[in-house]
Amino acid sequence: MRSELSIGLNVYPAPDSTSSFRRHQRLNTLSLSFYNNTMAPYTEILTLNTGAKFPAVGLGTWQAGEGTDEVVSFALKHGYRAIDGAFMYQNEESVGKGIKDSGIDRKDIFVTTKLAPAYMRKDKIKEGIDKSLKALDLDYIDLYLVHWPCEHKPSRLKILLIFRSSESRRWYIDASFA
Amino acid sequence: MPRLPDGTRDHDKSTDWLEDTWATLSELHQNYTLQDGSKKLRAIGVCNFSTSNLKKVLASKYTKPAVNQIELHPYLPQSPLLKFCAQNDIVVTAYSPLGSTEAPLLKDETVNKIAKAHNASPAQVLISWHVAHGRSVIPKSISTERIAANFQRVDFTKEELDTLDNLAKTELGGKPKRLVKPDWGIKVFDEEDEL
Repeated sequence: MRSELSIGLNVYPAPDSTSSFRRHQRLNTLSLSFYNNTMAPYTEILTLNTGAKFPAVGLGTWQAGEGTDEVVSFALKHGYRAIDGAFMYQNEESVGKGIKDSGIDRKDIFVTTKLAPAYMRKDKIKEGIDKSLKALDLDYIDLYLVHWPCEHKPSRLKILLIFRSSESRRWYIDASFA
Repeated sequence: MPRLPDGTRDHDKSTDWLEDTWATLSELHQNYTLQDGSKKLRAIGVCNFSTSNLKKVLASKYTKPAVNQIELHPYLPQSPLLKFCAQNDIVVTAYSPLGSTEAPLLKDETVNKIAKAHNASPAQVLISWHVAHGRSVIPKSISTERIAANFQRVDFTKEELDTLDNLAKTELGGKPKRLVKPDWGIKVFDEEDEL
C-alpha cells in the first residue's frame, strides 16, 4: 500500500526571536515577585473614533514564541481584554487558540491584528484579511492595522529539506521565507 | 522580508500605500461583512505612521485611521506626533514600552526612583505612564508573573509625570532614541516627530 503524501510547512521564526514560553511552567504555582497585592488592575477603556471601546492595556504577542496560546489564555484569565497580534508574527493560530482556551466571551475581547507588507497590493488585501481570520479562527477583527507604510514583494519560499518520516510514513517539506 | 541580490529590500514600487492599500482597506472596512451585515473589520488603523503620512491619509477621501501604533517610551516621546493624533481623534498605541530588546529603560535611574517611591517595578511605571496620558499600550511578556504585574497601575503625582515626559530632554540632551529600527529600505519616520 502506498503511504499518503502530505505536506507540512515549518515556517521558522526570525533568528533574533529568542523568546520561548516554558511549557512546563506551572501557571498556578508561581511566586509572583513582581506582583504587588496593593496595586490596582487597569480598568481604563479608550473610545475610538468609530465609537468602539478599546481597553488601554493589552498583551503584545511579537516574539511570544511557541507558548503564545498559553500566554494569551493566562493574560485573559488575569484580566487583560485586549490582545495585539500580526500576520507577520507568525503566531495568529496560537493567539486564536489562547482566546478560545481562556473561556472569555469573544465579544468581551478586543483583538488587533495587522496586514503584512506582502499583502498590501490591491488584489492581495482581502486574502491577507481572510488568512488572519482563518488563523485566528474568528469571524471578525476589532482593529485591523496596516503594519507599516511600505510595501514589499511577497516573500519567496525557499525549500530547505524534503524528507519522509519513518514513524508516520508521511513526506515533509521544510521551508523558509527568504 | 525579501531582498534583492544587492541586499536592499525588494520593494513593490507598483503599490502605493495610500491609493492602493488604504483605499482598498477603507472600502473593505465598509463593505466586507458577515451574513448579519456586521463588519469583519470593526475598525482600521495604521502602525509606524509619521505626521506627514497621517496628513496624507487625512487629506484623502478615505477612512480616518482609528489608531496609530508607534514605538513610544520616555526615550522616544514623539510629542509632535502625539499632539497631531490627539487633534485628529486618532488613538495612539505604544509598542515597545520598555525599549524592546533587553529593555534598556528598565535600567533608567529616574524610572527606578519613581518605581521605588510607589513600591512598584520600573516596567509598571513605564506602562502606567501611557495609560496616565490616555494612550493604549501593549507590553509583551512570556513570563506569567510579569504579565500579571504589567496589568497593575501606578498612580503618579503631577511632578512624576512631568519628569517622565521630559526624560529625553533632561537625560538624553534632547536627542531621542529610536530603538526599533528594522531595515525598512525607505524613509518611514520623520525626525521632527521624535522629541
